[in-house]
Amino acid sequence: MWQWFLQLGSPRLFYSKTDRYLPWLSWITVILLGTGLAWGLAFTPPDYQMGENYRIAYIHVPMATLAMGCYAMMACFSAGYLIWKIKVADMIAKACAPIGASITAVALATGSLWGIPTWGTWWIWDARLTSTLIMLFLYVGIIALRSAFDSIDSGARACAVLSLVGVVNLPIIKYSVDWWNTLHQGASNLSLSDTAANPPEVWIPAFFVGFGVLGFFLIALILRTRNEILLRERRAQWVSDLVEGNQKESGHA
Amino acid sequence: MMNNSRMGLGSVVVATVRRELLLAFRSPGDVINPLMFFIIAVTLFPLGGGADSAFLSGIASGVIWVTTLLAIMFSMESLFRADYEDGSLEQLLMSPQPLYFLLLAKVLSHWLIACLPILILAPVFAVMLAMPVAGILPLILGLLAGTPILCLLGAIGMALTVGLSRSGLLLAVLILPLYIPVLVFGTGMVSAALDSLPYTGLLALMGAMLVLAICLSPLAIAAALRISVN
Amino acid sequence: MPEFQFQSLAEFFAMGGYAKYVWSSYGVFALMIAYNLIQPVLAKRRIIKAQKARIQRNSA
Repeated sequence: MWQWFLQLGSPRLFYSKTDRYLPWLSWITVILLGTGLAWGLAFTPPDYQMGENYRIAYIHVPMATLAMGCYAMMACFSAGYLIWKIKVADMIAKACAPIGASITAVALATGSLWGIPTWGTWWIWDARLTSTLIMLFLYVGIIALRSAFDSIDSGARACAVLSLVGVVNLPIIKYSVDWWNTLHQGASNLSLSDTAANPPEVWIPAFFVGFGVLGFFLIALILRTRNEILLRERRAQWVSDLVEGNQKESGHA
Repeated sequence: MMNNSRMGLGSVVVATVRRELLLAFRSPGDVINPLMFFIIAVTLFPLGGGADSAFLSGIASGVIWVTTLLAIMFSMESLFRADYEDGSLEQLLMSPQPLYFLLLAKVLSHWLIACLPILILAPVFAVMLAMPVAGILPLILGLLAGTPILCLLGAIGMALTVGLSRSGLLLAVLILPLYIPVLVFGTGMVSAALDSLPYTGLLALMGAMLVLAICLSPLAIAAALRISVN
Repeated sequence: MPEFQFQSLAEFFAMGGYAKYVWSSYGVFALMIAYNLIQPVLAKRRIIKAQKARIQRNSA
């Protein structure tokens, strides 16, 4: 296990290993996501309060969860990069930011779309929506900081420090926004996840979608990290071989 | 400089603060500009939103907190920029004294230079914005505990961006989201007091955040400065 | 075994009057997935192309 993990720390081995994993991961993801979404959209009974509209939950909830999980992951890899100087860790952390930002944006968009019929308006300063919005700001900040540096190394270390600062702050921000919301919204807490005692036919498809979305996230992360490896290791012989190999293949075709 | 390494920790901190204050009074812009920004920005709100006192008292604590927060953010430029350009930042990083306390001393002196004048004027402007008297004390206590946190967090952002040529707006994007808890609890204290609820719990929370910020942010500032200087 | 919850396909697309919200949510989701998969593939193609050009320049 440890050996396998260490091997992923070498850019070249990361590239060749993921080459082998990617097809499997893709198939599992397609099956999970396909089943889960079809099930959630058409085969679960409608909610007795929100009707068919609650089907948005099948994508909104995993997106909102993943938005936070992605940030935690980025911070872990940032720490790994700062402590052990593992280059691949930084490449993964770099890949996390744009994916996390787009996931957060979708969580916000679906939350708003859910809000229109439920709350009568597409935006309210709900604790969850607000902290998701702040999450998006944090991602944007990290992307902006990375792009402001010319040197890859300085940008990587600066972003790693910022992600760690962000991850310490995140629970405080979340807590403060929750507190602020109860202060300003009074008792009118029309929470999105207020679907108590969900029957299994509701949460089993949610399980499928959840793992499917996780699979998609890993695929997107691996694809971006592989590109980053090709770019940064472009002087290495194996990358040249790889490119030449591609050339030969395309020459034959 | 020679006997610097034999100085005790306390006297190093005092010496750093004294040096920073002396420098600030030689270029008074560092003291006056944040204050002027605060005064002018607060004045814009009645002009833009109307001078109706019911409206003003509703937004008073928010306006004062937000403009203080922005003033601190803009003032961060003077914390490391000049030191970075004349090379004294490099010397600071190589100094035999523990960097942790040197950085704390630097942030403390920045707080004295840029925040204390705002703090002194804040109650005056709170009254001008028709804030009820019950809100003044929690406002000041909140600012007293909250502005050092803002300085420490701002110093992290500034340390990260000091090596970049155009860092003004980037700094805002980086640190404003991190300022949210201070803003929320600071304005919350005033609202609680105006609803005649106890606000000491929130003050304690703010104090806890301050302790956390004092413990952790010098580490982040040091790491960030090392990246920017190398 | 879960059964199909709608009387007809048309009703399925109508989503009990919530069609706008449900389908645009899933649309946004699909767009995001497509972007995150297509962007790296295009980027990889660009990188490989640039690499080939570099190798040819060096060997020439």
